[in-house]
Amino acid sequence: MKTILVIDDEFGIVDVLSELLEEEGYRVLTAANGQQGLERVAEVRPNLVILDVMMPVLDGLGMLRKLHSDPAHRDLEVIVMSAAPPPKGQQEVLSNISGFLRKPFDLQDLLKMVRLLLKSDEPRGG
Amino acid sequence: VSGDRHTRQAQGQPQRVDPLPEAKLDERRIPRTDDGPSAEAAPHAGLSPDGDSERARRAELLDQVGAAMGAASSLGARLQSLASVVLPRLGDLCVLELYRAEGPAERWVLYPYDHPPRELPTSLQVDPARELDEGPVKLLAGTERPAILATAAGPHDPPKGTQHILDALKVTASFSARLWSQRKLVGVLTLGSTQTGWRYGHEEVLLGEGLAARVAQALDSAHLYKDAQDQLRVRDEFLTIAAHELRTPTSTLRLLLQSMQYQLQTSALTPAIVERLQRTLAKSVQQCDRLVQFGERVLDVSQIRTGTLTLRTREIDLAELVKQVVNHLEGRLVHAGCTLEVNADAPVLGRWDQVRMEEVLITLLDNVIKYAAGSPVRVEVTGTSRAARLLVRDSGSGIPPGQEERIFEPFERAASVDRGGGWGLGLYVCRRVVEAHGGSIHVERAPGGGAAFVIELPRGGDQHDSGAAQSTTAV
Repeated sequence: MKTILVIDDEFGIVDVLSELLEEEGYRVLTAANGQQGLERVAEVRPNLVILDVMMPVLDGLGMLRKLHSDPAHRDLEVIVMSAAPPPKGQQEVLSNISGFLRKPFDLQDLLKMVRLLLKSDEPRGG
Repeated sequence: VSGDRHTRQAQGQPQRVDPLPEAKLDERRIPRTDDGPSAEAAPHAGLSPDGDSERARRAELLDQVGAAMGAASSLGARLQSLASVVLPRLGDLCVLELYRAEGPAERWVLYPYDHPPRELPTSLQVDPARELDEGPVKLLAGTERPAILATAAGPHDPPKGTQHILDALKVTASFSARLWSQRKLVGVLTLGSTQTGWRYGHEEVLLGEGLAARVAQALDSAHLYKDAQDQLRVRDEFLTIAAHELRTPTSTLRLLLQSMQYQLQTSALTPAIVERLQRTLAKSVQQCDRLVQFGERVLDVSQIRTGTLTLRTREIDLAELVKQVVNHLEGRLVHAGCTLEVNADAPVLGRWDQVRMEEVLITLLDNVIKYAAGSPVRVEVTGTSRAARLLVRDSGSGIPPGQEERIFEPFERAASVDRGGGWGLGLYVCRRVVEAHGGSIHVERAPGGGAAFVIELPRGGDQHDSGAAQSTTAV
């Protein structure tokens, strides 16, 4: 079973995404900020990370930089979701990500991205 | 500093001010009949007490000063205009000393075009606060404009900081006029001459006072302009933050609705799916509530700003309220990794506005979720016969030293915007709501780090025993 780590300080988003992705047949873990996210990544080595940008403690871009500087996690698939457009001057850190979603985004767009990245074409119960 | 014209700042680096075109300078000269100070045996500031024509000339000069200073935007340009109108007519230099709420006084030496004074010594700074302490300044109450009864120096003598400059420039005659704004001393304008035998008489003193009033006005309008600009900036910032805050619950709500849509498209309506849809609907309603709360808070801010915040007080149990709010936020607290300890066993009754006190507590716990994720949180309600005390303590990174008061200002937050969280109004509204109840809120450094917010609330029984269901408090 493929594992997805959802990282957002907004509980509502994490809650609805976890429930949906679990129904899609994935194992879902969550974290509330970039720091917790890094710890989770080290523990469970997820197949995909869905990452918010604006978070306290360590934000999404900060977490991405740390992931990219670590050879063990450099190739981890990451979908970034953000309420703001990609910040200027941060293109470099966003150049290695697998997808970018501007909030509010369409659920179908997220599901398509996830299925494509995790190569699971079955719509549910996989 | 040969590049300087008209103005020179006495402290720090001299500030360059572009010169006015000479033609304009000439236009601003006062028409006069004599040939200037040198025409008289004892040089005089060019005005003699000869009745109506002098009064008219004085009024004309003051109008010119007002118009010239009003037309310029920056302080430097305003002072440059002042210099071009009054010099060399009223002396060969002018020192303007400006006091600020914070920091040392700012001193400007103004001089006529092409007649710069000799070099200024660099160490001419004097602390204006100390100087005012040394020279007793007394204000006469009950008049439109405060008058100085006595100072260590006379009312037309220069302050010490200016005197240093006058001495350094070998000024032989001078007089000073105080600049008043909103009954506060904001500066001193000194006119001076280095010419032997130059003197200032009654007419010049009158003119100087009129001049000081115009300069104070011009400075006032410059401040008002800056204040207006600041207000606009604050409003823009608020709109940016508000847009972000609106986006969060709407994004969640949209996902919840889409997930229901998806369920209905892809699944048969089994009892399990129906139950799931009901749960999702309940969560959608919660997100709508957050949007409503957001609207309420914007309204609160507007009411606080216009002084029309209205409390609807009735007897409530603060301990019960705390338990309800904590219960409501439990999911978010758990997600943030906060372990919660609530000490609200005994009822604490008082007359308070339930909805607003809920908002206060939600704001404090929201802050914990944002800034102290992963830390243990303690919420405690205790009461004495007269007051209730509410404590929200976390073990996060705490409030940076020196920020303890700022965080209660509108649009302030200890962490920067791009670190997410907060919208800069929560604690401001909290403080105003608590104060409207006659209480207080402050933040302390919790033992072992973290922030401890403490609210003291009078129980309000005495004021509200009339049985009225509503009371109004304007803030």
